[in-house]
Amino acid sequence: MAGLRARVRAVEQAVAAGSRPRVLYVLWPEPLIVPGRESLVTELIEIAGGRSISASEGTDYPRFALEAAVARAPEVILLANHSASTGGIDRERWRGLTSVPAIRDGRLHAVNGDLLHRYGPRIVDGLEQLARAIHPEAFR
Amino acid sequence: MIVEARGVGFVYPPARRVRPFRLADLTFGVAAGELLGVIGPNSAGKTTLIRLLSRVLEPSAGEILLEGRPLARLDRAEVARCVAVVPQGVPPQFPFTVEELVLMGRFPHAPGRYFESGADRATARAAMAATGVLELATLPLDTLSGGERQRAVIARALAQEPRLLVLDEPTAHLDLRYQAETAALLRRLNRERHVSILLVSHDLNLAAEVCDRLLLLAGGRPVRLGAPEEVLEAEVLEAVYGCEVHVDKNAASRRPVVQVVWPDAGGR
Amino acid sequence: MSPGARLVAVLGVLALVLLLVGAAALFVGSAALSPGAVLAALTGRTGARSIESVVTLSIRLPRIAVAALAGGALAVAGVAFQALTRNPLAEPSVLGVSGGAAFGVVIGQSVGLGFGVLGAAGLTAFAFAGAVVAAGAVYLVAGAGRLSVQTLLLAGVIVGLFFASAITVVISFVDVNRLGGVIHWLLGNLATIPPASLGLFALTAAAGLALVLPHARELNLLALGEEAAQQLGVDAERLKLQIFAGAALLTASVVAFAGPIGFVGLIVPHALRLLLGPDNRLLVPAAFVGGGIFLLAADTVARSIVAPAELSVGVITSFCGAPFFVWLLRTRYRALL
Repeated sequence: MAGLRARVRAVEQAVAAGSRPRVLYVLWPEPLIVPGRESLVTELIEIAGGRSISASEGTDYPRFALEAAVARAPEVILLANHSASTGGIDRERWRGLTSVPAIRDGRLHAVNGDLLHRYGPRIVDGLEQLARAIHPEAFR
Repeated sequence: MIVEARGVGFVYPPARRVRPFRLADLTFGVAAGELLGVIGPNSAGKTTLIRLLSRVLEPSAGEILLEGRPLARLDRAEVARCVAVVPQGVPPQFPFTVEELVLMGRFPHAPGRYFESGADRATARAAMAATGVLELATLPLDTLSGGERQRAVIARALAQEPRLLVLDEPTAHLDLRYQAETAALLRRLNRERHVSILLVSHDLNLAAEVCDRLLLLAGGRPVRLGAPEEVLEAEVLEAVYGCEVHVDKNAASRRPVVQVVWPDAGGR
Repeated sequence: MSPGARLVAVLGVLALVLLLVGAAALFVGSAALSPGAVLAALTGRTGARSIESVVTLSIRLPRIAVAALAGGALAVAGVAFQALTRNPLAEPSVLGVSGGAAFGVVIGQSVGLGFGVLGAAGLTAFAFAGAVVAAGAVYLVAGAGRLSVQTLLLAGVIVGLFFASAITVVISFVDVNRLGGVIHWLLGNLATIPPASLGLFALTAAAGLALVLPHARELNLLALGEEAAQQLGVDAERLKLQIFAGAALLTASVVAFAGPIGFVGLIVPHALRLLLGPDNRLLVPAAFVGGGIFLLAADTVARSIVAPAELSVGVITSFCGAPFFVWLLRTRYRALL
């Protein structure tokens, strides 16, 4: 347990100095499902030094309008993939959304959803993964 | 000959009917302008005969010629341009108007056409006029009386401009007045439009009154073919129908009239 | 008025309504763009990389196209199934055909088909296979030959329930994490799809329409009964096969790209019958445009009523469709039951 806490603190310290970019976390792409106010992922994104654009939505995992996500101009987009059996990540549908800073800057990343959606010790692995995706400069 | 059956036989596949039914040795013809009646008891093969003549079914023996050409080699539209079948009515909830129904008769003349042409509409109007339903043209079928509906269905068959009109029990659901009207209509169509008619009917007296010749079927086999007075003989009918009959002559037309001798009539 | 002129007039009016509803839908959405901003995006006065332009042209416009296509395809499938079965209450979802197609898509996804235009083509093929199997099953359950209205509907319900259970089984074997997406999709869910997939959708829907539309006149004759239609020169066996394939393809394409959206094939054809009468030559093309209008309107409601969240459009169509079905049963088709 102590080791896990230390790793969390290390992440917090690493991202403390940086900005807090707007993050769109895509739990499911179609229909678009995102983490809301109460969800674990929203909390993890905070710790990893980002701000989820859907952090103020009512329920845990609300369905979200694609255009609402685009309008909130996320700087980082994280696509959760769900274990190997579901295949690759569909990057294609995001490529056309050229007004989104994350797309413009090439900051569309896949993250391992299995590490982030369930409580347990592996969440710390997930947190480190999130932090690296949101603040790559802090882990060079 | 408009249509000619030569030794036609047909067997329903065993699965289609509980009791296998067969039609055999059917040889007859309908000459141009002739009115032929097909009569016989239930399950004599009358309906099967209509299906064979309209190529809904294919004979398993013999052949049918339509104006000298083998029926089996004609496509459906060709058959429908020559033979028009008048069914007993239209299905329940049939949603179309009289005119729309009659225009359906134009289909075999141009199956590829999306809408009927002006000429098609003129033909349909003439057919409606011939059976007296022109003023009902815009009414849906289910608003008509039984007799009106029958005349609308006949108009649809006339719109096919057939050489042969095949009628399936045209008076089955009609009262006496409509039966008389139908008989008169068929004679008039035959006379004025030179269309040959094959009349399938349970009604021996209607058939005798309207037709030039009668074909009596029983159990899928032809029993007798000839003028009404040759076919409607008491002993023949008694053998076929299994009941006692009395054959008289209609006072006006001199045609045979068949009456059932009710089994209990004397005892009352 | 000649029938041709009437068809042109009807299609003209419907196309105008579709255009108006489509235009209105362009201005509605949770991104809260001003009408001026949408107009600027449409006329190209904003950069291609502006939010206005991306939301209007890359998100709203393709979704409007998907909605119009899916609605049109479902409505034509409804007209086709109703004429084919001579049952006024037949419809892809009522007959269980949508359920079969959905099962096909779920199977396709579980064997790894998914993204890109090839994946979409594969899913469409699986959906078509599923639709054909389901329709065949309905035919077998109800018994061959002339089907009574009740028997056919009951068979459709049974087959639909069977495939719904089968889908649940497959999902529970595949992956819990996919459930969220699948549940929304199973309700019928329109999405912005990439241009290549949209093109494929349009192509399959057009192929389905092309199988049905040229035979609209023969479908009228089928109302006389199969035997009477044959006696009028209709090749009934070939006709039934073509219409069946066309309706299954239309249903499958919608299910593959938008999920099993219910009741469109019931509401739209019957509304149009009240306006235009029973002639399938008017109904088939009118249903293609009218179905587009209906589903587009329903989807615009679905994506704006709870913004920035969204409802599945299938929820809206079912809320309209189920009462409509009951109303039809109790008023117009009481005699059939």
